[in-house]
Amino acid sequence: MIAPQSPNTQNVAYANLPPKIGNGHLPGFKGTATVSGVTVDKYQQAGVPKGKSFILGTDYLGRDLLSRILYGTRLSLLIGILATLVDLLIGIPYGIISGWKGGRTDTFMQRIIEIISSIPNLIVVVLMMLILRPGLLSIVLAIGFTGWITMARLIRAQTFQLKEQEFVLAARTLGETPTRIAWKHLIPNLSSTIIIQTMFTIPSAIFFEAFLSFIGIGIPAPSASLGTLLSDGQKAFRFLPYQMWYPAAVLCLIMVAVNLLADGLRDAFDPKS
Amino acid sequence: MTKYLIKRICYLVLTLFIVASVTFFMMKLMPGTPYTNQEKLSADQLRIMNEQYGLNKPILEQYWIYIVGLLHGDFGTSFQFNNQPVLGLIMSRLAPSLQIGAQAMILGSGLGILLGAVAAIRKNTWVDGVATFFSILGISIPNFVLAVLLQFFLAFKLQMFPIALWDGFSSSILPTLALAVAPLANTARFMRTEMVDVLSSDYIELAKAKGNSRWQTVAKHALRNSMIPVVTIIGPMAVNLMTGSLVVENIFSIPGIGEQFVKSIMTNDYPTIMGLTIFYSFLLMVIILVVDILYGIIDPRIRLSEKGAN
Repeated sequence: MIAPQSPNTQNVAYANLPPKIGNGHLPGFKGTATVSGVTVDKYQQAGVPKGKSFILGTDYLGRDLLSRILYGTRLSLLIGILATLVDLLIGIPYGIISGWKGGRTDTFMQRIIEIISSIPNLIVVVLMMLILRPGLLSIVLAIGFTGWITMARLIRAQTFQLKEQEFVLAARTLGETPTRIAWKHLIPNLSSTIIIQTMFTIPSAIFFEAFLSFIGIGIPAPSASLGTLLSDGQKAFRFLPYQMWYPAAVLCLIMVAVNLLADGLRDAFDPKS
Repeated sequence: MTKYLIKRICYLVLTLFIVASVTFFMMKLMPGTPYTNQEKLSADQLRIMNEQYGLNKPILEQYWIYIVGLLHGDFGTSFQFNNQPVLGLIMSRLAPSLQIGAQAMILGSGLGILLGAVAAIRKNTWVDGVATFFSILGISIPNFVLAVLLQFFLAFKLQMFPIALWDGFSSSILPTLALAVAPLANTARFMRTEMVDVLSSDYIELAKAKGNSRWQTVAKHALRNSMIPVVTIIGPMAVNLMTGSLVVENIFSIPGIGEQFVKSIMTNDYPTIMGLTIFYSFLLMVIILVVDILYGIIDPRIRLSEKGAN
């Protein structure tokens, strides 16, 4: 809606135009480039009609970079949130069951966790990406599949403490089913752990997506994500640095923002500090 | 201790076996073939090549051959890298990766401990604020973005370092910097929390009461004790370094195992992918095992509580 252009419209004639705002009076957004010592107006060379400008320039296929960044950010955030959902859907039940049952079930479930966590995360994600067809869904699944380990561990440790407490005992004596206890008593008490961990999972999911796209097995073309934009930008970084600058800045900004939020939430929920 | 060690090593072998099996069957599910120009190959050629690599046998038999081979230290033959044995390939590329990883680890954790300690001593002042800001920034900037930025400014613009080349120490500086930032930030955050705890404990009060100066107290008592728990994050840090090295090695064209892993993924080189996955897992598990043992040695309380539990 806000994007000035469709992110996938190609116009090769307008390829690699530098950033320009309005008539090009702002420094850094003049729409000019220095070619072998001479400053030339790239827009004039490409025959762009007067009054038309690309705020952040265009990429090698003449696609508007600003629109691509906007859509890419949307996709990256979507992946971050969906992957975290997958993470929650596996991690919370796994942790609660493991902690609630205890004994042999717990030992067995913890062994599985140990095995999964002894393979570097990224390698599992890469292997899964190779098997699944590239696309949004498989990225989400691959990241979610490896991300739930920490969540499950935290939840398990907390469940161990909670199940010994009086209110859980009371609920049990009143004859409530384990599922109901989990929903009504455990999850509300686990919520602060869950929220904090969620906030830490989102940036790592965004990072993984960017990473996968960067090495070329992430979101397939022509869709844009911050990772694919970075990967495209890196190829021409030496000559057209703006193509890498803007996506990199956006990615870092998102990561800093979410990390700060997570940090703040942890401080707010942590009774110790 | 010996019993504990034997138990851990048994788990390690079992885990490696499971990792090997899972990766093997995952590879078999992978779409595509390892032959680059398959359309041009005739049915006969394909049959001969499949026979040569043993890909025509039933999957379970291939699995058996692979596992037996692993037990003999045979990781199979690479499809892409001139038909070399995978183990030899990994070994020949191990040195640069280990060098960069170790350098990044030492630099990152060393500076991180320093930064975290300073932040804790000057808690809630502007020093603390700056340190916290930088550690959040360090965690937030993806290492591949940092690598490209370093390459652009220090190597391309200022020409201080080679852009992409593997030739001695000077070429390892930029990748080390790019990889060291994440461990630095993590250690600093962790160290700060620990140090704040330690500084408010009774024995620090005692040390101060005895008339030690502030810096003496910190250097002699606080620093050593707050560094103990930092050992526990070496394991997760090693994982981050491994994943980071995958792409940083590619950016700087370093002939290491990370670069090889990415290359083998691009070319469907199953034996190399499998070999490297097993190798990475092995490396990681050994690091975690060593860290656990070290932790017991450094911190006597752990040993005591373990005895008490038994």
